[in-house]
Order: sequence, then structure tokens, then C-alpha cells
Amino acid sequence: MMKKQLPVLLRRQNSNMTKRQTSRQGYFDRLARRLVQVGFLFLFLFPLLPFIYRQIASQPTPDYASWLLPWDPLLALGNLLKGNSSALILGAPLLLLSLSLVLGRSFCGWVCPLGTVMDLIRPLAFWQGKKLARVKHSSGQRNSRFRYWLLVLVLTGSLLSIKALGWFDPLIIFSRAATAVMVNLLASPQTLERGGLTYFSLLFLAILGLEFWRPRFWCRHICPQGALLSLVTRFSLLNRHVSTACSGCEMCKRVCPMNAISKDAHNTDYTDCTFCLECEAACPEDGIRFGFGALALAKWQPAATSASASKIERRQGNYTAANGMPAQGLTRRQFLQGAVAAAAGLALMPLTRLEQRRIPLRPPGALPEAQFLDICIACQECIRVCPTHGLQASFLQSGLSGLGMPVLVPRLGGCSLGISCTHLCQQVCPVDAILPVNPKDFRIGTAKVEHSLCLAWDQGVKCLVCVEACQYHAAIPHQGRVVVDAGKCVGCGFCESGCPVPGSAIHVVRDDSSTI
Amino acid sequence: MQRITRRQFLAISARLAAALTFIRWFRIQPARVVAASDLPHVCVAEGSDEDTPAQILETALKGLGGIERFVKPGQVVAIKPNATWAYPPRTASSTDPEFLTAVIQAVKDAGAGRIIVMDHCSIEPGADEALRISGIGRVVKDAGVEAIFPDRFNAPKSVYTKIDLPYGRANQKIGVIKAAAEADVRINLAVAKTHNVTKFTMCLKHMMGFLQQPGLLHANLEQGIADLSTPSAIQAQLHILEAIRVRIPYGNYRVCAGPETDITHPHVVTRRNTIVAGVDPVLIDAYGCMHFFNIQPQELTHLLRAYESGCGEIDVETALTDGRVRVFKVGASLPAESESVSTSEGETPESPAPQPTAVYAPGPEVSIPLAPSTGSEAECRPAETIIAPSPLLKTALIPVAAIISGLGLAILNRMRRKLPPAQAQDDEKTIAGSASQTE
Repeated sequence: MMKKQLPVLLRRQNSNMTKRQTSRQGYFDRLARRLVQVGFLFLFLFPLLPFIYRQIASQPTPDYASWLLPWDPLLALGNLLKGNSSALILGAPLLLLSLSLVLGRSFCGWVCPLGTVMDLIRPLAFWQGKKLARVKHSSGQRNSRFRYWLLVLVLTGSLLSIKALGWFDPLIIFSRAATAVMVNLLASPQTLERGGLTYFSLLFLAILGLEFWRPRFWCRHICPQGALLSLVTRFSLLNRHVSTACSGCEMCKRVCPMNAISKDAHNTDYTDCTFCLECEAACPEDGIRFGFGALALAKWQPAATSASASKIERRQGNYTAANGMPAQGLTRRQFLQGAVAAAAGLALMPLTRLEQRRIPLRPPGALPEAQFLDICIACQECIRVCPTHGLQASFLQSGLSGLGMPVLVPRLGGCSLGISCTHLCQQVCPVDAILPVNPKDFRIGTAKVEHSLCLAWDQGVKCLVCVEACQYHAAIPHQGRVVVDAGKCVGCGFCESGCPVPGSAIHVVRDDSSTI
Repeated sequence: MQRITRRQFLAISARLAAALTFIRWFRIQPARVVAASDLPHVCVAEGSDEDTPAQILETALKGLGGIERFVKPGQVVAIKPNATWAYPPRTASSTDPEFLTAVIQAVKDAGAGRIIVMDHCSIEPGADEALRISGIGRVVKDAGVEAIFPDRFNAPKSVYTKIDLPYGRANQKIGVIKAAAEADVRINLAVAKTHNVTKFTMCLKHMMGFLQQPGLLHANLEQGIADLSTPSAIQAQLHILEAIRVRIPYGNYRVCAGPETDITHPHVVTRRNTIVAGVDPVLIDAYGCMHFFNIQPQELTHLLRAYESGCGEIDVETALTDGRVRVFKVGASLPAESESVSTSEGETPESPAPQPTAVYAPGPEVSIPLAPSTGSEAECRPAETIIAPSPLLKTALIPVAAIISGLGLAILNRMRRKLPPAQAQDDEKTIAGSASQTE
């Protein structure tokens, strides 16, 4: 007995030493990961910087298109299914997928801005104490396959409408939330009536709330983007190797925020592991290494499985090639069930348009309304870049199916069809719901004067602000009153935004010719 | 350490509050019209086609007692040209670039601490284009002065402030450009031209460019315009009416000023080579009405309202005889040469005011076509952007640096980790050895 225990004691001393060492290294690892995460977070927030800069320096600055959405593999796939291959021209989503084949789900742990926000806010749950740092999932339970179901649903849905994709893609959720926060907090004084935009980051807030309950709950159970990456990353070349030093203390399993470690601590579920390196730092035996190899296709084989074997004997073993493929997301039957369910659900989607009473004003170049509702993913990129802030996220005015999609509210700002606008809304659209048409060929609607409210018509005041604002000579002073030449009016709405009457006495109304 | 008692704390708070109130009170104190009796209120300088705007301006300012009368060394000066429209100077839509350069130079020579040029440009085609075509952007850039041309939709809240109009009849509070309200001296550079609502735009109407939302004034436009020249934080100390070119026809002014305008047509834009400077905007506008547009000042409602609000005098005839308005010919006899402005009674009206007639009749100098030398549209035509390309792109290097350093740190850590496994392997061997030994 003495002889058997002595090395263990020795090793414990050793392990204490290494633990101190590793804790420092663990600190550096975490620092490194945070640096990368925060770096990417700010890189993706960068397109919002001109907005802040304009507020502070009051200098005109060009806007930028999103740097995030062109990388989105889920969005690219959805676009492809919808018959729009423009997103693949850059090849960025393919690059990301092939990188995932090498680096596993490192994207989720190191790059994804939504994951970064989760990791950053998790320590704020002070009432949880240190408990939250430890995953509370019950032992042996694997992450649910709901995310694969959602992926099937979203992609099957893309055949009809990629709107559902817009709701659940984490990168779109992030960019939408960032836009909502930025545009709401830094609203210009002209546009005090805004505020509807916050509704559309509710999902974002819900995800943050879940984070205080279970770490990375969204990533483990719901995220369809993660599910898509998981299909590739189960062949990940980057892997986690557990040496025979493992004492089976399950510390790694407890610190793993993704619940990627099997019960025996040797096997790793590469569809979940984000290579956050937490387990490596937490291992008291310093037995975990990350490296490259075909370990994803191997399984840990213990040398001795009998209960009579000693503790040390039970640690022995090696990774041997497993039979067949690694664990899959969904079986074929499950996949088909999901596809059928998704198709059935989408068949009911036209019902969500029932309450749409009148078609709202859309940005210049927008597709015909029926197509627009199917294709727009409500990412709100166009809303972010609109220089006059006339584009707003609709709440329910364009029906349930139009939730969060851009509508032009001329009262808040007209649509500059002239040269003062770069028409960035047409360029940033990731799904081509707004086409780059020449704005000169586009009509938004026609302005109509409400004679009972108009100062010139009702009170005989020499107001004529609308005449001054009109760039198309469509609002004409006629015997001290204003009349609109419908042949010239394009519905830019600058008359409506400038009208001194509360609520405006001139309104842009969509008419039948409001198409490209 | 001595701790303050509650009583002391309250006392200090009260004093601070009182002090802050006083500071606020001092800041809102309206700047009164400079009414030095020995100096003229309004000075008219008439030149010829050979005179540059700078020479005409010099004459006008000298007659008024020099720019030093208004601008003291170290003061913050807000200059408001008319930069609204994207039309070249020959259309008399915006302030003449040469004239603006001359004003900025005069203010600089007076030793102003800061010079801020500001105006609101029209929505379409936007500030950049308006500044480029009118040539004002170039002037501001070359002069190296501060510029505020807020974008109506994107301007931050901090650009504007709400001020009181204690003598206002239509509005008592109004949002204006903050820098203008905080400046020590405001110089209003108006252009004499027609307008489709108020008939004519001169000094009074031009004050609207300071406003955050000029459209809101239109509910009661005439009184609203008059209110802006009552004593307040926005009242201008010096008004200069530029009548180097005067735009005549009344109607839709965009048609009159647009590219379709035949600019050499004397009935559209005429050369008057005149600059009217002064402290009394009503008197300047009244003079302008009678001499440039041949109407009685009382016919302009906003002018009448301004007179009723006490912004100034409307009777040009009387002012011309008692020396409050003086007319000088450029180069003839500068008031500086006579040394004493106050006693130069003999210089007053050199040219008697022409009797206003109801029918427009162009004078002899009106039909002179534009001299090519003064039209500086040749300079401002090339598409030279006055806004630097985004200075923000370099900022993206910071997160990129963070990412690279983070990745580097992670890889470095991996390399350092290589050491312990050997130890662990040794360990394993010993463990294996010991295990076999026990067996």
C-alpha cells in the first residue's frame, strides 16, 4: 500500500506545482481569448462608428456596410436555396466553413460577437456567485438536438421565405440589436418619435437573460448557425487530447461551458467544443492538451474496464479509431420529419399577412411587396445606414410578417432620391430585397395635402415650407395655397418631414405605381 | 481630516447654486444694439465693376467706424454667410466667395480669437455639394477657420441649444446653433435677393439660418423673423447686406436661381456693386427695398413687424438726412481720411436717395453684364471634395491589433505548455512502474 501511494503523493505535490503554473497560463489563455473576442466584437461594431462620430464631431463621414453578414454561412445557404447566389461570390462563408473543418467551432468561442457578449455579461450575474462559472447541466445529459431541428426548419423555410432565418441567425440578431441600441440612444433631435426599434432586439435580450441561467444555453441548444457549423466540425482537425494523467475528477467537465466533454472526460464532442481552453487551465493534473490530428474520429478505449481494476489501472488506455462516423446531429427520419413540419408551418405563413391593412412605403429599389415580405430578413442594415433616418423598423403597421422590416416614415426624414444620398440601403442589403436601381426611376408614392390642417389652406398663412422643400417642383404655390403636381411628385417625403403642423399636413401615400 | 457638517454642506450647496444661477443670468444677458450716437448706424458703399468686393467692404466698414468697433481682440466671432443653395456665385443665390474671404480677413485682422463660419444648407443636394458649387467650402477651407454646416438629419443634439427670446412675440424660446449663441460677436452676411414667401430676402430674413428648425417659424413667419432681431442671445451685432449682385424677379426662386437661369440677363441678376453694413437690420433692409427692389419698406410685412417690435428704424429718408445712414463711393473720399467720422456732416448723402417707384426701372449701371473677373465659379467648378475621406478607417486597426496580439498570446501559451507533458509522461511511467511493482 505504501509503495502504491507514494508516487501518488509525489504526484500530488507535483500537481500542486503545475496547478499554480497552469493557473497563470490559464489566466493568459483567458486573456488571449478575451482579446480576440473583444477585438472581433469591435471589428463587427465598427460600421456603427461613423454614426457615433457624426454625433460627437458633427463631421460628415461615409457609412460602411456590415463586415459581419458577408461571412454568414447560414445566410449564404438560405440565399442559395432562395436562388440568390450573390453572397457566395465573395466566398467568405465557404472560407468560414472550411476553416471550421480545421479549427472546429472556434468561431463560436473566439469570433462570434453574440458569444462574446454572452461571455462578457456572464460574470455580471453576481447573485449566482461562482456557481455560474460551473455548468450546472446534469451529468451524462447531452445538449439537445433542438438546434438541428431549427436548422432544418430555417433552411427548408428558405425555399419559401428566408424570414425565419433572419429571426434566428445569431449574427443577424447581433447586428440588429447593435443597430437598435445605437440608433435609439443616439437619435438626432429631429427624430424624437422613434423608439419602435427596441422591440426587435427582444430576442437578443432573451438570449442575454438565458445566459444568467445556464452558460451558453443559446449556443448549446438553439443556435442554428452553430448547428450548421456542427455538421462540419465533427471532423475537426483541432482536437483535445486527455493524457493518462487524468484522475477522473471531472473538473474539466464542470468548467466546460458547452457541455462538450463526455462522462469519462477523455472523449470530446466536437460538435460542441468551442476550444475556449477553460478545461486545460482547470485540469489539476495538467493532462489536457489541444493539438491537431484525426482524434475527432477516434474514441477513448480504457485498458481496463473491470470494476476490480485499481484506480490507476482504470486510467490507462488510448484513443483508437472508432467504427463508422462520429455522432450525427439528426437521423434521416428526424431530418425529414423536421422538413415536413417546417413546410407545413410555412404554408400557414400567408395568414400572418392578413392584418396588413395598407402597404407601407418601402425604401427605393425595394422588390414588389409580396416578394419583399418573403425575402427581407429584417436585419435592419438599411435602417442603420439611412442618412435621414427616414427608414424605420416597422412594428405591426405592415403586418405580423413585416415585423422589423424597413418602412419609410417621411415624417422622420425624407428619402433623398437625389445626389445628396449614396443610396447605401441598396448596397448593404445582404439578401437583395432592395435592388440597386437608379433612384430616378423609382417612385415611392404621391404627396397629398390635407386641406383642413394645412396652414396655407386652412388659415391662409404664407407658410409654403413644402414648396421650399420640394426638389421636383411638384409642390406648387397656387393663389397662396399649395397644390401637388402628381405627375412630378415622386414621394420623397421632404415636404412631410418639414411641415410645421404637428403630425404634418402633407402625407406621402403609396399608389399603384410605387414600383421600380 | 476635517469633515464638513450637514449645515456647512447645505450652505456651500446654496452658494454654488446661487453662483451658477448668476452665471446663467450673465450668459443670457441680451447683447444690445450698439447705439453710439456719433457713429452711423448704417453705411452704404457703392463701387463700380472694377472694384473688388474687398474694396467695397473696406469702404463700408471704414464708414461704420472700422471692424474694430464690433470685433475686439480675442473674441469669438460667428460669421453667417448664405450658403444654402448649390448654385454658383453668378446667380446671386449665395454669399459671394470673394466677399466672404474679405470679411473673414477683416475679422482676422481685428484680432478675433476664434472665427466660426456657419449656415444651414438645403436638404438636396446636401451640404457638401452646396458648399462646393457656391465656392464657400473652398473659402472656409483656405481661410482655415472653423465651419459648422449641420446636416439637418444627422446633426447631433450638441450642435443646437435653446435660447430665450425675451422680446419675442411669436416665439419665446427657439432652438439655434449653439456656437452662434455662445459667440461674442455674430456677423450676418445677407444677400439681397428675391424669395417666394417673403418676397425679398435681406438681413432680417437671413437670420433664420441660425435656427434649428426654420420650418417651425413658418406658422407665423413675419413676426417670427422679426423676433430674431430683438435683443437675445442670437441677435447679430453686425449686419452686412451684400448687393454686389442682386437677384430681381419675384416668383419661384428656384427657377430664378437654377442652372436654367440666364445669368447675363439684366432682369434676373443685376450688378449693383454695393455693400450695406450696419447695426440696424431694419434700416439696412429698408434701404435695400428702396434702392435695389424699388418698393416701399412698409410693403414687406416682416420688415414692418420688425419695426413694430423695435428692432430698428424703417424711415430711410430721415436716417439719410440726420446721418444715421451714410453713403460712400468707393475710392472717392474714404471716411478714414477725414479722420473724424463724428463731425463729417458734409459727407452725408452724396447721392440722394432715388424716389421709389412702383414700376421697376433699371438704372444705367444695372444693365452692365457680369465682369468675368469677379465670377469665381471657375475656381469652384472642379469636383474637389472639401470633406476628407473617413478618418475612421484607421480606428479599425485597434481591434485588429487586439485580435492579432490575442492570437499570438494563445499560440505562445501553447508553446510554453509543451514542457509539462514530458513531466507527465515521466509521471505516467513511474505510476505504471509502481503499479506493476505492486502486482
